Amino acid sequence: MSETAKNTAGDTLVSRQYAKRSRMGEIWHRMKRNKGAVVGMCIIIALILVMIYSALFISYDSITAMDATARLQPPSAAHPFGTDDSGRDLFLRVLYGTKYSIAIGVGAVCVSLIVGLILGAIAGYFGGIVDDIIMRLSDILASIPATLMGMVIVTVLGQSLRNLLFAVGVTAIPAFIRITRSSVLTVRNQEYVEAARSIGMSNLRIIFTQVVPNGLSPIIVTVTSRIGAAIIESAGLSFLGFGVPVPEPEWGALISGGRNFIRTAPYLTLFPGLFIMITVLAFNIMGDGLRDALDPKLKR
Amino acid sequence: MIRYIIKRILWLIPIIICVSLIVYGLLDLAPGTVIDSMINDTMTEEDVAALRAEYDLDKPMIYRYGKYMLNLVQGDLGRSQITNEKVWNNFISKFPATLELALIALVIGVGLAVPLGIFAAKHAGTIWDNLTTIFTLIGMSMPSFWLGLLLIILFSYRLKWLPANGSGTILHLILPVVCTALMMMATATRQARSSMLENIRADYLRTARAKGVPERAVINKHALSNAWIPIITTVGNTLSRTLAGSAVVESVFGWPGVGRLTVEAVSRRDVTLACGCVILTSILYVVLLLIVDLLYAFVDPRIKSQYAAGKTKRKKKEATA
Repeated sequence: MSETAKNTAGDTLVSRQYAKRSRMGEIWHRMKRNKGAVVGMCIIIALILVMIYSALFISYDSITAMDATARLQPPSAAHPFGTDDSGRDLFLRVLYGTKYSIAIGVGAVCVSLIVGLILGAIAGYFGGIVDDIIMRLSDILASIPATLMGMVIVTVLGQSLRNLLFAVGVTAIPAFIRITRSSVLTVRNQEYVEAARSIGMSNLRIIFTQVVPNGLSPIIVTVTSRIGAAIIESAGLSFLGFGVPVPEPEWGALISGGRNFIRTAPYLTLFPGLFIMITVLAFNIMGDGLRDALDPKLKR
Repeated sequence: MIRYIIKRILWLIPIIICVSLIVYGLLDLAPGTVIDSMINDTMTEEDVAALRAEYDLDKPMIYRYGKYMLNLVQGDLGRSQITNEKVWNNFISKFPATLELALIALVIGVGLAVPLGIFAAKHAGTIWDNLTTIFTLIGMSMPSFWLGLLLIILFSYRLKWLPANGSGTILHLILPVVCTALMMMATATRQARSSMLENIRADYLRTARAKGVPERAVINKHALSNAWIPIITTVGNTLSRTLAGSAVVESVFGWPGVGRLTVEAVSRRDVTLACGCVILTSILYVVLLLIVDLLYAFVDPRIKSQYAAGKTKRKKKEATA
């Protein structure tokens, strides 16, 4: 009797020691050791600061006002990235455009994550006919190429930031349904889910308190890497003319605008693209770091 | 196996129905119609009404969709609402250009990516491995149209070696192919590296080395033959994505392929042409993915035996997938 009591006490001591570094803490610790992840995170933080700065200190008028005397000037001290065909400073426009790309990247992934998480969890947890229906619908959506689907959705809803975000989000839904479903399937038959069921938890509660948290790591990794993909996707749609309407300095649209002057003013194409690349790169390397941190098996 | 293929091909039917419903329905709902660009000031109200009637715009959308589907069932994708050219002929005339670009880029891109990925995996942790990783990460983070424009700036305008856009000669082919191949290389190298890496550490490789198999044979026979699956997946996915998503690269280089055709059709509200293009591209996409699935069976006897073993095993595989 006293033996077991001692054991329980010992267990709590051990678990308290472990509790010092929680699961999140452990992941954070592993991520800090990954150079790429740290660099990626720093870039993302810098971009968020740029976003805040441009929202506070760059007025919308200053980036849309035209100046006929300063048309197509090459990069100089006054205009680090040069000026466009309407004499607008490209540097300010690119900085201001940060918020569009980040918003679309994060927003689109939120759209696909929410829908994908719910449908994927339902499909994986219930199985049977529900699973079949959801997965077949997801297959159908996945069989329409993303760029074409995005074009069609933007055409229907009209060109705006919100609609572009939505269009890019919808095209990624099947990927999230698939990943959620498969992680739910691996978790579903674990003992603790059975235990939860035996104490009378409702299905919905089991899904969201037991199944989803335990199958989360592949989903988190997908989220991070999909943000980069969403930014590229939306830039492509903007480039084709299915993006944010014209005066807005979205990066893809800036490249598209600069293309007309590519022979005389290549910097108009160069700089916005560089920013897209750096942003996507940051999300991608952070995603890689996160994957290694969440799955120590892969590292060895 | 045959049953499986037939099942997958039959699966195309609901896909076509749903894709056509989604795309036709959405484009029909979109503000603006195909006749907007035909109306001018000299037309009277009756002329406009006649034009609307000609395109069935005075009837409900379900009527137009029904009519469209009725033709589709008979294998007729209809005619472009603007040029009146048959959608099928239009698509087929543009398709070889898209295929040419995708296949040449695939051969070059994957042909370079697999050796590079293996090389990086063999030297994991060294400077060469890191350089490869940096290369793939940068390649994956670049929008393809931007890379295309950079190539144009460098090779067409600065060096004046190659034409910036158009098609016809082999010189026109170089830039689009390089652009597509580089994009493919980034993902394929990464995939090849990671699947090779997984294999290099596998027990059966240690066994092979222990029994004295020469290093070259260890890599080529034992490791590579097990790394094929993920590589084929990547190749299949890249090829289907390139064929389906060719719109962007084709627009950059003015390449007369199906991607550009679709973009133009959607922007001009040519519902029939746009819908036909999206349906045909989707079919292509699904068929390619089917081919990839079947290829697995040929490279991996373990999967082939699953097909042979029948339904129960396949169900199991699906559950764990």
